[in-house]
Amino acid sequence: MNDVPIGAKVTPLYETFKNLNASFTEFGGYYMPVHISGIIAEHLAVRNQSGLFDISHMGEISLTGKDASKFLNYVSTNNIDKCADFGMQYQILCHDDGGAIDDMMAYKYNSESIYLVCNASNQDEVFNHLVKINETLKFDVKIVNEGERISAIAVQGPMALEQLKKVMDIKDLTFMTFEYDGKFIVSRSGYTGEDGFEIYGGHEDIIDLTHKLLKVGVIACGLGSRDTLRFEAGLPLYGHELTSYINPVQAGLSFAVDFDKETFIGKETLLKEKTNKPEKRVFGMILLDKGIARQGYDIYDGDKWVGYITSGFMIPGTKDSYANGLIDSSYKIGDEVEIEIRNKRVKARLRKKSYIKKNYAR
Amino acid sequence: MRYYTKTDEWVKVEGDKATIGLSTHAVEELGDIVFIDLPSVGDKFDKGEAFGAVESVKAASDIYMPIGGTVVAINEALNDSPELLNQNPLEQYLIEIEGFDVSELADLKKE
Repeated sequence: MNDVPIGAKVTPLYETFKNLNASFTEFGGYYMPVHISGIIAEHLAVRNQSGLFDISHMGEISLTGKDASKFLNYVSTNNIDKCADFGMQYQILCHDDGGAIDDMMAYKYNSESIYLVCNASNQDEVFNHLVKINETLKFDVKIVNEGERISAIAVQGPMALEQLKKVMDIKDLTFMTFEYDGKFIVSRSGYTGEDGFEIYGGHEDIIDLTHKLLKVGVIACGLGSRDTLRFEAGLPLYGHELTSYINPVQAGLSFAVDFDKETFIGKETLLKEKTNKPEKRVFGMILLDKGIARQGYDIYDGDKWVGYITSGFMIPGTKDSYANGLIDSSYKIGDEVEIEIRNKRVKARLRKKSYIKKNYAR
Repeated sequence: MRYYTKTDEWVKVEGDKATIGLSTHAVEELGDIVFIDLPSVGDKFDKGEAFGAVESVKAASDIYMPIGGTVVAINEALNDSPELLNQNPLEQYLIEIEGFDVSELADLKKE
């Protein structure tokens, strides 16, 4: 049943998840596990205990050379100079018009060696974009696509550290920092709103670590719960809250844009957006009637179309239905709108787009 | 006896009433079901028409009439506990209909 579709790649953990009877789907060019024990059980495992995700599909690109930081600061919105060595920084890669190519996590070894983790579906585009820019600008930087030789897992949840300690030597790192122990890159980070770690390494080492973690009781999780967890925590997903036509200012991600930098791709447009206020921006909302708002559903205020849904879920384990949507920025938190779901109108009230309190280790 | 559509609904005729539900295969594919959008009693649908939707955590899927008819009952238990459908899809009907034409069963697959 789980035969890999033609053209799709699998990660080195495919067999492991297949043996757990996972349901698979094609995502970002990879045939990935969506759910194993069930999205609800997996979501709750991460909120209350610990869960493990295969994130080997993510793209890894290394930037090395004298100009590595200078290069990143030119192509991306954030300022890597403000990040300490062995620290991590959220970055957004934009086009000239401010539209996002991808969002990425930068792992900074030092100013001359930076490792970027980008979305699976965008990794080739990001790599080609970076290479092309440097063909003209000729910064002293070597850009290497490392994705094929690296496997990775995320271990997330309040029991993540305790469980990892049973199977490996792990430090109680500060949130958004990492270390390299000669075998694994280990960071205190994740995409769930919970405490947790992301671990990168060679294929065999990651497979071995995964089996050990599953053996001590960490719950195998798929992309389904990865999506509900990031949504509940108010974290954007490229292709939903951030796209080539939803820029970082509209997405409410200005915290990752350093307008004080002299120049960077997209600065002019984004600065205009920031100064004049964008026409539309991404809001959170709670549905006041029964229903679930899915990506693409239209949002109205009476007869007037005011925007559309970017993501929406009934939070696993609850009856609470929330959604994010791109809406005219004349609206404000507390305002009521209507979402059209299968030709029926469902009322929703605008609110902030984070639906739990994050539980990071500080 | 149940008859199955290509879109994975089943219909079971008993006298002048018929119940409609989802196949075990469909439910397994959907995963955790969290919401079922059912029509109102009295609504009338043609064969092949979407009469509601079943929503897993991830996505909404329309559900289609295996045969045409008028809704005379809906399975109210699913409103509060949609997960019942995951537990036993063949025991949990979605709607009950009347006023159908048994000749519309002809192109459906017998169980």
